[in-house]
Amino acid sequence: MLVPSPIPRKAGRTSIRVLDGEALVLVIDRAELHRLNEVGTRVFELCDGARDLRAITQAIVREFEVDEAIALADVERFVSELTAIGALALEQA
Amino acid sequence: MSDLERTGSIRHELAFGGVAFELSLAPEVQWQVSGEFARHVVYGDRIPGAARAPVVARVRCSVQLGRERPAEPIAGIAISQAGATTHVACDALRAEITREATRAFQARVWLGGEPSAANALLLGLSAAIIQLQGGLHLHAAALELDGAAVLFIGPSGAGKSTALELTPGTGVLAYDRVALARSPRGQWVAWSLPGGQPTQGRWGAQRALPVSTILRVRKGTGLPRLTASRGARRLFALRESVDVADLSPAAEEQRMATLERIAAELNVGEIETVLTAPHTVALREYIAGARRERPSRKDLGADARA
Repeated sequence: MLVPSPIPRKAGRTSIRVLDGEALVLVIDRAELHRLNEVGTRVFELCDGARDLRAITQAIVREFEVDEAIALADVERFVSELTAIGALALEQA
Repeated sequence: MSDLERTGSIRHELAFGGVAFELSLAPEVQWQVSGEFARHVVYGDRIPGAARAPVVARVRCSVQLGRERPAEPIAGIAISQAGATTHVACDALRAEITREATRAFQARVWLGGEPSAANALLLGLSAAIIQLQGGLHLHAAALELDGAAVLFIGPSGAGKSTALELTPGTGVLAYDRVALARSPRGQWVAWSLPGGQPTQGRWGAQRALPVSTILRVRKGTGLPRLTASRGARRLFALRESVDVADLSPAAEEQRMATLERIAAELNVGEIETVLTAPHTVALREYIAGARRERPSRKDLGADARA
């Protein structure tokens, strides 16, 4: 049986800007600023509330030509970190 | 500087932080701007005329003595929006601001009786109006170099004051904060604001200057190093230095939009300071090099001074 994959989405009280492929994320309630690298920025962009972690991973594999297992581990870790700081929220599929 | 009108109210005209104030004070209101703030106020007929005016907007203020205290202490100045009215509140005042025209506002102010109330009115209302006009307040030290302002930004302890000390031969515009907004001519202009630890004899003659360069300060080793910032790094440096009084998502979106424009239109870079040598020459060379790489839309001339 396929395990449902969580669906991440951007948290409401965040402000995001992308410049030259890098994202600046402000978590308003914590007054915290975070700068994401190119891959992190793309993962964050893909967290649109419609894609689960598997779909995001597959997009990263296609766009950055990386191994799927490595990409999945990175995506899960990255989403977990952004969820912990309040930039993302996770919904169960 | 003041006159008693037939209505019995006392009028003051002054400019502070990029905003021209026309104050009508009820007779019982005590108006006392402290020494630190007074340095940044331009009175009466010394307010620049329209042809040279760097003020962003004008506000007509009706000021009464406020007798109610806030239910809870307010840390700093709080700005919020309710429909077409902007509310400003701190322990010393409550104000309601509405727009009359593109660059004109009116305000009703209830002022407390404490000695800091006049200072709070100037800072709070100018902060709100600068924000409404698409500008913001920055934690920045600023100096005048060749007719324009160089802003040093960064968190406390980054070395902004040290950067001022390491650029001899320049006048200081501000030690701790500036208001930054577009003048009516479309230039980004910095207005001095109070704060910081002034050094005797370093103040420049101007209270407002067009901005040429914004530099995030870091402590370095060896020789002073100035580099241009790219992408989100420049936006990050700007955003971490913004003075925030309105925490709403709408205000944050406006702030970020303003910072994007600043990042796109001004020279934003980094300076690594060292204690062993002055930086003035290196700073001039960096600015000249940046100008060659990105021609400015208009010359940074002397037409926007206070």
